[in-house]
Amino acid sequence: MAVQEAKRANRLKSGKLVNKLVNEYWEDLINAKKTGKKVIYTTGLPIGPFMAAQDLAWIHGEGYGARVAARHEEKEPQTFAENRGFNRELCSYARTQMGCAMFAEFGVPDDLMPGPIATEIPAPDAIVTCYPGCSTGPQWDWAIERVFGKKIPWFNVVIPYHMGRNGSTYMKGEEFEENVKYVERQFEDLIKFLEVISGKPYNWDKFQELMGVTKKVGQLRMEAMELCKAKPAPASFFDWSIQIAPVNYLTAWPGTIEAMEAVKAEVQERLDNGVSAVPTEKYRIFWEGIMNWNKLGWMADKFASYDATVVAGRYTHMAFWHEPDSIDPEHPLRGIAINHLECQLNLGYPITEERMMTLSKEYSIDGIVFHGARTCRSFSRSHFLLAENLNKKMGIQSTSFEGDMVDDSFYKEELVNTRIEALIESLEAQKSR
Amino acid sequence: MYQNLSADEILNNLTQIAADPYERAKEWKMETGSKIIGCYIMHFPEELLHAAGILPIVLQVKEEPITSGHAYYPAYFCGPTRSVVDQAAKGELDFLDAFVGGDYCIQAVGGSEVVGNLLPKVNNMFFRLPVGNQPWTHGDIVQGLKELKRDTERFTGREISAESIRESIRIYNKNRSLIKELYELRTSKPGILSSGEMMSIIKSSMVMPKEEHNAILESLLPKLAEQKDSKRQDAVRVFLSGSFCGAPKNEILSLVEESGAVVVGDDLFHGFRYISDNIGEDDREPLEAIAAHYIDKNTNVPCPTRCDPKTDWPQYLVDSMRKHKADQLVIVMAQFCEPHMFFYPDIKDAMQAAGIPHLLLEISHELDSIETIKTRLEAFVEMAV
Ligand code: SF4
Ligand code: SF4
Repeated sequence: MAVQEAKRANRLKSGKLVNKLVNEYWEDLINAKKTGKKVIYTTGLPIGPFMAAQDLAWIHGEGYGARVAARHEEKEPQTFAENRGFNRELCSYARTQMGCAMFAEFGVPDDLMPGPIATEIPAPDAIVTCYPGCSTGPQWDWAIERVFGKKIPWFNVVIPYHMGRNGSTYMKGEEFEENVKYVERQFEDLIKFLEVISGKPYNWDKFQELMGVTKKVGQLRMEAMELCKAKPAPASFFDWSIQIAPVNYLTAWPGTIEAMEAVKAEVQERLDNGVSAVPTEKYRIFWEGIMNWNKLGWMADKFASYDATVVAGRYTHMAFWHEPDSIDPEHPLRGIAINHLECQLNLGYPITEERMMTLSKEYSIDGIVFHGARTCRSFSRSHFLLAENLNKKMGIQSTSFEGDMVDDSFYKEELVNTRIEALIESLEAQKSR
Repeated sequence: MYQNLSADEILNNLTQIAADPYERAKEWKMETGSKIIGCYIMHFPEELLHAAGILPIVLQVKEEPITSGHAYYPAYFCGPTRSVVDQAAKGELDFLDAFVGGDYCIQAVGGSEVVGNLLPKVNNMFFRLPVGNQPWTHGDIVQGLKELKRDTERFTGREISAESIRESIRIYNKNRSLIKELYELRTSKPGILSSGEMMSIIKSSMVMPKEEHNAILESLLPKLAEQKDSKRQDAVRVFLSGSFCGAPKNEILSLVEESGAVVVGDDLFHGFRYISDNIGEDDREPLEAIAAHYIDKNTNVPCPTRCDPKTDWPQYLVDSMRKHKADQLVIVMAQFCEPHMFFYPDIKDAMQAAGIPHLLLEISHELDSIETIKTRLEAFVEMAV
């Protein structure tokens, strides 16, 4: 039986640089209206550069929810949403952001005392949805559109699910090519929409420049993550979760290249000096599922205590400009479409399985943790199949527990402990065989 | 053969077909040697599949508890998707030659991934139905239909002609029109059909050849028209709403009526939603007509999965309640049905503003709170008496 000592994960120090950018971004956003900028609500994968090129501010719904949760202010907006009739089984990101949007539109009710961040969201001038692999995303934005009295212009980029029809596979085949064209055309319409919202012709030069930045940041992040194929791994999935902002809502924000260069340099330096994320790495784990933002530090230390490094995850490694080479900054629409179409949630089951098997090989994975985020059914939809098939085909053991991204009422800490312990025990038994 | 049966006998037959929903399709397969395709679950262009000479059936929720399916799909997914996964895991869908999944809801997408895995020999197809209502949406839906047509042709090895699609549209339109006549009849005489019978009529239509169903309805309609209304005039008039993908359980429908109410209208998928609009039979390309139908029928009976901000489901409900002179609204929501959950606050607000009492019933597949549901329904209907 594995003996659990309280050990700490050795987290990347350069992660702090991102905090500075994050703070700048939110500061800018909260004051956007004062500086005459229009505010666009977005959900789904990163489309910030479309707006940034036109000098529009954008709020990423999930990013906002995660930020509110990280500051422990999520309860009041969630309660407000629930009191209005939004069921707590709905996507917790949606409930959190909707609660905040309702504070902005209806005012704060007397019986709630929300924190400052939950109440500072500016009302939207337009909504742009770009949701791959989840019908909940557009439905959430539609609910927001109704909160604001059905008068906010809404543009929904429909990202078609890449099922894998007629032999189409990852980034290949008839279905893939049809889908890319379809999304590219919608981006052209999105640009026309943003011209109307901003009242000026589209600034293609700026957009191309920002997509050049996006490509660079995407490459740096993928290279840094790939350095963690080394054993022991110099950084973990939990570091990469923290590093999501520069490739998500912060995409192409000034300073993201420098921040990601610093991260990559630190990972390289650790590698050169034999420093690892978990000092005594014995097991290498894959995290399957969306991140649970209010448990991140706790989880990182928990695995470290068991000498286990969570090396990679579908959330971090299969999305967020994970195919940077497909972006041609001069003609950026195709590359954006490819990155969004081929992301972690939008792939049909056989393609997902194939990608997971490839990553498991590349990162020398011993076991998988399935985090069944209760209110993100898009992520958990294929967990049972993946657990069974990866075990059958590669002999990878796994464990699973229920949780959530920003509603910790779905956690049963004792159960999480027991499940992780059980996985480590079976990995230990497997290694000693 | 139905000519000689009474209305009650015909209704009993349809109820039986609905209760064991795949038996008639299996018989048809034996009789004709043709193929069957299962639709998982809402929003499929059955006409297009029918035109290929195959029988499209809408996969149904079964009332039995989920057992084998637990290993494949988490318990916190909606009952309709879990029930179909469970049927596939138990081998009950092995009679299918193909099945087609859709992207209208992520839970259906996930379920179709699991079913695809459980039925490796069954041809696994997919219908892409773009949401929204923009100037380009119609064209995008046509494109999705063309892809499905192409894949169906590859599956059967036969081209689907425009004329055969037109013919299928005529058959399906006829079915919708006949069921609509039943609805009209029920509006004037609410007692002639219980809500359970109405649901069985629609459910049976989803799982058997439409030609045959049309013939049955043609026999049934005049017989029903002759009947007298058996309901008391002062019964509480209820409108039923919701229940996407899966039919509401018979027990729930019976409880509504046993509580002293009469159902005067509905927007259920296994109800008016399924038959609300016909497809244009004009000179247009048939796929163009089907695509227009998706937009039109959603304008007439809005669906929360279609993300069309030009529609207003809460207002539609208020208007329908008035049109049917309904006293109360009973909302049947499948537990974990996200599209429905997103809309409930707006429906609640609209009902409050219009002064219409409503009751929300969140129904788990396991129906574990039936006693509570009964008490709540009785108390609710009582309010209006
Ligand atoms: S359910 Fe998951 S994928 Fe869908 S909108 Fe919510 S967080 Fe995004
Ligand atoms: S629409 Fe509702 S009932 Fe249908 S698959 Fe989605 S969640 Fe399930």
